[in-house]
Amino acid sequence: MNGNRRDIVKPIVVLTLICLVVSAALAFTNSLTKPVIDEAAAKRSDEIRLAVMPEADAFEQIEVPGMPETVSAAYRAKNGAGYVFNVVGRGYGGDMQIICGIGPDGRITACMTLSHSETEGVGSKTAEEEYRGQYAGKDASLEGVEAISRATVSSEAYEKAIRDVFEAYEAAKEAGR
Amino acid sequence: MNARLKTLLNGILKENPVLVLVLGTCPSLAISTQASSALGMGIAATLVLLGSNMAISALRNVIPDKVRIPCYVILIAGFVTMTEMIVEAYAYELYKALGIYLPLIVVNCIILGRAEMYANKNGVVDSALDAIGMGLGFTLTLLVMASLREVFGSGTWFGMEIPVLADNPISILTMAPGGFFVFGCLIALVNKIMKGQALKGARAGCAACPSCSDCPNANEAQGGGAA
Amino acid sequence: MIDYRGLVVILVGAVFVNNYVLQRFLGICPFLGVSKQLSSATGMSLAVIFVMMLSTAVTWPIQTYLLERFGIGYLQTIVFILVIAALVQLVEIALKKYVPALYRALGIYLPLITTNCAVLGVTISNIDAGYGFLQSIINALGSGLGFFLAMVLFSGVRSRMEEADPPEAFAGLPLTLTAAAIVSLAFFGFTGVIENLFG
Repeated sequence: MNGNRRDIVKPIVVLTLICLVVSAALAFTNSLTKPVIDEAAAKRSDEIRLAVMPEADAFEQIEVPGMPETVSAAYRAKNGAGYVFNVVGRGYGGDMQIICGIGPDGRITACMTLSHSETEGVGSKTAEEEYRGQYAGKDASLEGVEAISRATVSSEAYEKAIRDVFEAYEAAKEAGR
Repeated sequence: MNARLKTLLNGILKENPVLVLVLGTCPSLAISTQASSALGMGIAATLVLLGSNMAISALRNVIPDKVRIPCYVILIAGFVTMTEMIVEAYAYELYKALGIYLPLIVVNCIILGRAEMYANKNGVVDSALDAIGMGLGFTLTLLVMASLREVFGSGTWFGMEIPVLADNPISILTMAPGGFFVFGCLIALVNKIMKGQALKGARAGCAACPSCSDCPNANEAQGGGAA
Repeated sequence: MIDYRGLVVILVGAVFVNNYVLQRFLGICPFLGVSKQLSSATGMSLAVIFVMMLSTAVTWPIQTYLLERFGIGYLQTIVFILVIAALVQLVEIALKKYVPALYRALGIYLPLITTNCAVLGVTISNIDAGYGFLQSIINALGSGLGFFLAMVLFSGVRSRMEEADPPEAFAGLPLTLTAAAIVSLAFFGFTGVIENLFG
């Protein structure tokens, strides 16, 4: 009877101990690496915001009520060079993370794709300069923007995301931010 | 000393994990389009292998046989996660290049296979040497595959452009079919070098695969010859 | 409001365009090892589809309501692989006891699935792509079906290869891989078709 008990108890005890030790080791490593990861990520985000709005100096994040739910974050350039918005486009293969800057004249400065899961060679072309470069200088009407032939779903998703950005822009102006 | 050296060199050719034991095929095919990512993946996998082999070897008398696979998996997953965190913090470009294949190291048959075949039967130092040897074999194979695919597929090597080849890339090599093909050719090459001395019954990763007893190919493996 | 069009796109895309075996290189071990006969290929694939969907159904809520809520996202790899391993064990035991016929057909492939990178791959992919619960399940179904398609196609190719007479060094695995290269190439043709399925 005792032998049987030991047969069941020992494995469970060892398994649980290993689980705990490994989890503790991971929590420790996490506490060391997370600050480094977060700092690097913040630096990268700043660099990207400057890339879509070169005239800006520094950005501050702002709260804007009434933004479409696809717009995940809004930033304002401290020197008044405009706003930068992070928006999620519902693309063909999943979410597309897009960042877009709008200048004080209500026109797009630039937009970039941060990440996407679109089909390589087809929908992925929305991330390339040839497509997204069209948006630079456009106002809210997005007149003249052409979808990529044979990649309609991805193109439409991108366009919708940019329209959402303009909606957020209006919301930001209205809220006086 | 000789025996230790042999253990180390074993993983490079005679029991090359990828080309002879046919383990770890998924990352080999997926991460072999650029030499730099291949090197990164190789190093990451080697570190995990080293950690897990040593830990499992050290605990081999403590872990009960019944729960050994779950225990191994937890330990391996722990090392993989630590590697993920370190790579994300200090080598972000590599982190992006490896993508989903970094956490997938946890199911890389090489690691669980070596734990089952070697680490749970040998001392810590020997297990460490085995890990380094296997890791080296894995990394070298990945590097060779990636170099071939990068040089002829995009005309660069480690990102540096190569004069004539950069203008005439054979793009298919960097895509899925190219991966399968180059892999097949490399195995054929190793076959030729070893002149059939390679472990028989090691096809499709049988010899070191932990699921051997449940595998429908078990008969095939046993009939195939010495292990 | 369920976006049916979006779900179909995910499903079809997972089967043809981002085929797990032929494009994403996941699940290669069973692909090369078990695709020799149609019966074992079918059995393995059905087991894979089942485990993929079940794992997704369990891991997605765990990620969303447990890991992310408490900020322990870094435990994802460990938790997911343990869940998959545990599920496979449970399914095996349950099948053996309650549906012996099904167990006989699928049971032997189940333990192999734990180390199948395709299953862990699908559960992590769902999170990376930002899919909701329903989308994740559909993605798992599609990925499994894609695996099935690749396996079945390939078992046909391999049975033809039995009669081939290749150079000695190429016999066995190299030949199989070259055939896989060609099948993978064929799937490229689907890319343009699927992207424009709905105009």
